[in-house]
Amino acid sequence: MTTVEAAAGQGPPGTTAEEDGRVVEDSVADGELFTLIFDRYGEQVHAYLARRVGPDVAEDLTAETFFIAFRQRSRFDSHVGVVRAWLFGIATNLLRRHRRTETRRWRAMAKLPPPEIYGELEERAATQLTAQASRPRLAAALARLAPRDREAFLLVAFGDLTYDEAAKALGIAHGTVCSRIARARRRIRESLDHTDPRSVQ
Amino acid sequence: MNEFDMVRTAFPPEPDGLRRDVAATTRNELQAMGRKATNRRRQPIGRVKVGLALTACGALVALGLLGLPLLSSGEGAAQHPGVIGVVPDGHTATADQVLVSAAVRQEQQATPSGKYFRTRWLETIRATRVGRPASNLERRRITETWVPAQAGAAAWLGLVDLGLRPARPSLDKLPPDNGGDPAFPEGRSTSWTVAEINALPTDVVQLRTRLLAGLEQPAEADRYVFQAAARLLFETPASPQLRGAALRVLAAIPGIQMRTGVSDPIGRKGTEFALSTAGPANQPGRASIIIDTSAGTLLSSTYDAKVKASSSVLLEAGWTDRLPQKPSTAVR
Repeated sequence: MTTVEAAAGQGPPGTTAEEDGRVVEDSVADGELFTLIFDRYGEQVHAYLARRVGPDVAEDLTAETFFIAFRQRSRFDSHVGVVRAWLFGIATNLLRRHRRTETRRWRAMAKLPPPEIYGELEERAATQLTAQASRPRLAAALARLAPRDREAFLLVAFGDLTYDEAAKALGIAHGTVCSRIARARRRIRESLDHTDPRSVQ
Repeated sequence: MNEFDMVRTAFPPEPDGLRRDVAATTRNELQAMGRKATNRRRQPIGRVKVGLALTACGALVALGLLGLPLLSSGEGAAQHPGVIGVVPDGHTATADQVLVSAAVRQEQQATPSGKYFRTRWLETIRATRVGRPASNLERRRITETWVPAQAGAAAWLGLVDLGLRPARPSLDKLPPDNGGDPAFPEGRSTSWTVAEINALPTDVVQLRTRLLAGLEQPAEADRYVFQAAARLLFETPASPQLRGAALRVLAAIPGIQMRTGVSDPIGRKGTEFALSTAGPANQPGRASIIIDTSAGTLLSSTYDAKVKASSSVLLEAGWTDRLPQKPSTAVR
């Protein structure tokens, strides 16, 4: 757990977390500045949501995320966290209302056949191939995870947050995030190691 | 390859990103919200919401019980500036008399109770300019606030947009601020928490001073206080004593005009209390609240300036034992 597994929350090139924080804080006085935050992170938030609940639901939730963020912008404290993680926290909260949609989606993916692989088997692509071949098992494992473990894991996997940012996004202690993610990783690893077909469904 | 990379690789981002038209709609909406918020601040209102709000609870009920029915009297008002109505025995009533009488009645009310203080609003704002030549669109949305009576319980904010986007209700739990004290929902109100509202002084002078805290332009003090006191009265679960004090603060503001037979934005008739400022601020404007004196409820609050106008129409307000739920799209 010492290495942070994901690249620290990256904004688009040329922006820094400090600059984001200033924009949000300045937007309390000048509300229209907040559109900059949408310009910077709208796509990223949508991509994260779409990977969890599909692109259609994600569209609505993206808009809701930014509307809620706008209304709560005066509460954002740049000393406590970065804007990107704050947005992902709001998005994750909204996703809790779509837990069934998400679980259904993972179950459906678990039933899809592994994607056919075209092209050459270069060494670099080999690991990707393994991952894609494992897709049904991974999807089944994600569907079975406790929702809290899954959201912590996916904030890092899909949201590219650090453990620390994920903790702040979820409003929980760093240690709690670590144990939730560790549990999620263990279950995912077990689902791949197991040959028991019941674990794959 | 660790578990993160496995999952990332197995489930790559959707090839199609956020659709351009959806992104544009969301961005426009944010921009309109931002513009509205900025203009609100540029008025002397500061942190105070432009759209004042009113509740069926307490204060306005008191107006209905005054025994001072506000009869229409256009001519009277013209002949006697400040005179707004004539009571049946021939006495005239001025805005300040009506408000002070309301304060007296208000202070005698029992403290209402329930699990949540709920308000339901229709908000309209003329903000979005579209097409060429540009024309204004009116954006409408329903907002509901659920402020818990119990300290430490969560507040909720319900929204459903009736405007450019298709209606999709939402209900969001609001994180408690200040160590467990439920935050008063933003978007419909104030930076005050319930505990801060409870701690506001009920002495008129002290309350006015507190409402003025943070005001940078002393010349705008009266309008600032008008907005703040009205908001306190009608948007918040204030105690009867505090409502009484807020009404007295309102009554003490010089130049409040009263007008009968005024229609609110959805066509309901009521009595209007208004304050105009031609002041030095960059945008002179007029803030008003409309009350249904027969039912004793507050109908709407409106802010008119040259540049734009916004209004908040109160559809329902009061204490409830119901649990928070997503708002319906009904306008009434």
